[in-house]
Amino acid sequence: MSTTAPAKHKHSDSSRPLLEVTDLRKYFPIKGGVFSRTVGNVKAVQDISFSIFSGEVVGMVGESGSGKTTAGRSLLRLIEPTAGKIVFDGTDITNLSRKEMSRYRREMQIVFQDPSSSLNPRMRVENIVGEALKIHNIGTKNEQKDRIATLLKRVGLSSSSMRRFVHEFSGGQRQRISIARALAVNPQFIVADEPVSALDVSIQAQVVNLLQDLKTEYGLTLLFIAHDLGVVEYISKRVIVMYLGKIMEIADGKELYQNPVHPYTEALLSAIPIPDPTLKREKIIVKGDIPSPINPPTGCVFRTRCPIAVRECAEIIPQLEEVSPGHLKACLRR
Amino acid sequence: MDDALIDFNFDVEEQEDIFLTRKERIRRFFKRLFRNKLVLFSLIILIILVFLAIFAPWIVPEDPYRSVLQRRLQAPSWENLFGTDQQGRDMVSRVIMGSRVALYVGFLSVGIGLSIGGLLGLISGYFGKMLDTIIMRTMDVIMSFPWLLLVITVVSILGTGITNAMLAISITLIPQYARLVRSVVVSVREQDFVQGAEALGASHLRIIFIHIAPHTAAHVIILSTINLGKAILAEAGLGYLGLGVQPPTPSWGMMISSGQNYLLVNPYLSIILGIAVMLVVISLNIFGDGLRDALDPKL
Repeated sequence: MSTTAPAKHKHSDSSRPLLEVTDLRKYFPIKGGVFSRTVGNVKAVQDISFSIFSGEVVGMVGESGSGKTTAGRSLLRLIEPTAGKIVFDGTDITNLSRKEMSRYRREMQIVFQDPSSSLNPRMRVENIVGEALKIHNIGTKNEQKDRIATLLKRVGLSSSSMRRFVHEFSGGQRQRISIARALAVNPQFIVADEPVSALDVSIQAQVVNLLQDLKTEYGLTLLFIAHDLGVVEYISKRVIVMYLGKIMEIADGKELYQNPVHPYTEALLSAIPIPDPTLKREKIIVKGDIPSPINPPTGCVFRTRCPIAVRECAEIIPQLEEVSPGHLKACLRR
Repeated sequence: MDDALIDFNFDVEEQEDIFLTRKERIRRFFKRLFRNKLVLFSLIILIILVFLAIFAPWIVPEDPYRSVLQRRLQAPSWENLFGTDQQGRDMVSRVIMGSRVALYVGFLSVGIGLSIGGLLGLISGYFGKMLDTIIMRTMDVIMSFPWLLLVITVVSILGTGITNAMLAISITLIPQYARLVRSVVVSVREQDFVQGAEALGASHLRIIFIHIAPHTAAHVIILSTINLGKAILAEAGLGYLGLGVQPPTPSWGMMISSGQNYLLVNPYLSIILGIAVMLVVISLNIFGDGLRDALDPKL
């Protein structure tokens, strides 16, 4: 398969982080009252820091409302972060103007969760996939056409799909088109924002496999966002666990699955279904709903649902601390 | 990797339409457009109307201004198919000449209202914030005037006459388009494909005109077909008040209003013009519906 597209390894150097995020914060203001004053904030992402190394696949997990998507989109400046710093490939992109940002748009791409709303229903597939080439003026018309055909073939679609509209495709096929669009400009970094959550289980595996193959083939760096630890386990090297806009735990995949430290990670792991009806295991069930991000709990945000919370959890905000090299957690009790 | 390959099962008919040339695709578009015979019928009426309006001076059977007082207010006959008016002028000629005013006012005022209002709506919905507030509140101000009052004000400032009447009508249409387009833009711009385009580095202009504007087309077409009819009727209303076309220039609106005085003597005057206005408005509506359906790739 590697003959169909040229392998690209822009940065084989994996010692340097490709992306460094420091204290990223996104608050959505709630306007109210007569003069639309800001009466509160939805604290979607609260001061998170992490880095992603070149060629790495980092998983980001957490239940709905934990701020994964907001974090992912803020990284690409699709949502303007409220505070914090994003350094991509050695450049601080946090405050770049739209024009200056355009250069980095070629290097960072996104695959959205719902392929039916992330692809323009009034455009033909060739225009969707080829749009980035047109925007950045890459190649002649014929070269662009060839590139589109190659990309479509690479993601497993026949070249006859070029002239079709999005609604003629199934969910899995749409997600492939979405991937082809992201790949068109040869990016280094792709945010995959729950790319398989909207798909059937059988199709999920295909799309995850495809992403993994493309990753090796194009030397991509991926941030793979999901709410399903099972999918993330399969593809990611490192995993970031988020809850209510904060990072609970960061660890290498294997380490996290075998040795979870944070009670929230434990709860998430115990929610992965195991296809063996005879196996008995202790289930940790987190009670209730995720608290409102408008008024997050004091201290540790997870304390309201934590099975081992004590009084001081309400008073002290736990910081990310190293448990073992590369394994970080934010919990007072563990 | 090969297990990820999914083959398409095209049926023969669909396999063909992918490889169509431009010419064939245009033919297919018309085939879709005329699937409903009424659409074809309404297009024919509209074409005839435009043809009549353009070539009116050469087509009319007699001078629409020539009055023969001996044949005042006659019912339709072989000599005067639509009868004659209160000054003994041939109604066929006057109806044909009058179509010019109707189309001029209808198409131009809708065209101006659509382009200015649509553009304001796009800007307002896309950029939001302060700009949105300023534009939309201005639209509210225009809308809060009763349209007739607004038109009378504009005409009395600019002076009577057909062009000014047309301009005045178009001003009343601007807020309608601005509001409609804005509402569609606001809902479309939140969709992921707009953020997707942004992630690709698309410019504001590109996002607005390539990604967002086409989604407003269906709504705009419907509103325009309604407004074309309304504009023609508005011109008629202005003519009635003496603010539009000045006599003796024939205009449908003025003819309806003057015919009204003779409703008991010769009802055909108003009836024939009423039918003409109705035909145009209904044809426009049917054609607009057909056009909208033919332009939607999902249908």
